[in-house]
Amino acid sequence: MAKAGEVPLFVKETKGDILNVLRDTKEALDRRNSQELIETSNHLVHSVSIHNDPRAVYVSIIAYALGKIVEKSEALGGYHKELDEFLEGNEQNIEASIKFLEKNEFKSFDNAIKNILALISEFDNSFSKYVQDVLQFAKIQKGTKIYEHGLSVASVAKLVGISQWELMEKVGEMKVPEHKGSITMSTKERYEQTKKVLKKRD
Amino acid sequence: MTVVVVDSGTIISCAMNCILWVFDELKQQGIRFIVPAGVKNEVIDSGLKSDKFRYEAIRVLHHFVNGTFESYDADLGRETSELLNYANSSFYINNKQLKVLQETDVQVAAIAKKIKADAVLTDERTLRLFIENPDAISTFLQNKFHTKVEVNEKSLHKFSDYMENIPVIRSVDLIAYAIDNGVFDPTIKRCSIVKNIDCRKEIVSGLLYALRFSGCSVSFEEINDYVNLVLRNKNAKKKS
Repeated sequence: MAKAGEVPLFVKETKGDILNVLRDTKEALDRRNSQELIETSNHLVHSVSIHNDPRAVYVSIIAYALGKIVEKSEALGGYHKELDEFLEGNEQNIEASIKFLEKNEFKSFDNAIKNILALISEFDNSFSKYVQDVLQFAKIQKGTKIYEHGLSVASVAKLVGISQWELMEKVGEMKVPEHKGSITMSTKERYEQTKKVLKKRD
Repeated sequence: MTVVVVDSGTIISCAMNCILWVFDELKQQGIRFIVPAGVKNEVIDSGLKSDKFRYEAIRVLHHFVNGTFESYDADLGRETSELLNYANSSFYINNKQLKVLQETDVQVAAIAKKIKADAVLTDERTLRLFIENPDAISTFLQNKFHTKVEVNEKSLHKFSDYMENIPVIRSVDLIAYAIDNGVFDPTIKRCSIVKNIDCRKEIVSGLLYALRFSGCSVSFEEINDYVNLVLRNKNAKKKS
């Protein structure tokens, strides 16, 4: 994934979508609702697939990663001061990023998003006995969603900042190959073609 | 000599299932495997950076060192740009181009065309459809985006026209062929001695499912067809 500072222009078509997702993320985070956060993260998949906007990718990954962290905290049960402070800090950062985006202050918005990603990453490290590399997991999950929308594995890997190795493994669990349009000839025809090609010896 | 140009997905799915050695065997049978330099670098470099896939990346590297995979280093910038432009100007949503392929995807196609290869070996669904049936991509995208996908028919068909019906082979097709041609016979013989199962059937089915779960674009129905096909071929060979 390109670093925020390297993104030259803001894709204006995605601004509205990003704002909606950030507002929904803040509300869901306020309610500590993991499912809502994960669901919200999917709302940017179309936007990412069409516009290839790294900012939409970041925001989608943030919503998903926070959803998984809240989910883990639900599973752990009880009150965790460190976790609660982390989530509150992120609520404030998301609120700030919404304000920056509303005012078209793109550089400040990029910094706020970078800050949230760094916080998740740092928290993940310090809290790793509970949370396994959540940011990486979020990238892979979002990557598979984007792949479902027709982009090649290589394109998706580049867009979300993961390797093709990681994505291929996850893609295999999906139902995309079952799509009728993916089958262009019968197995018999394909195998005859394969044999014809591979048996050819000049 | 049969010449096949190989893409990253196929190398990755075969490496993940420890079956890169099949390429060595098929090379012995007279098949050359050409890999674009960009694909080689991408697969090895990204694998080396990952704790989980570092060893697989080394195994891939080994297959370049032993000569099974041949790196194609010549610059095909013009051809690659041309193909990338056809692919990524084929579909529009709200007047926005849908960038479905990227450089290393089309490098495979560009090299195959340039060197007049006999086939492209790819597990990448979108690239395969661009070559075999570009109209199917439109239907697929329409279903996924639930919105009007505008198609630039000219660009869409220029890609497949450029490729001139070059056959596409997936890792599952290659492995089914290898099993059918005796590459796995020593394993089948050894396993049949110690366990009373139909080893050929288990190997065909096991490998094809493993490749599917490693990202190869193949349906479960196709896998079942393949299992029957390979077993039928074996029985036919026995009778003759």
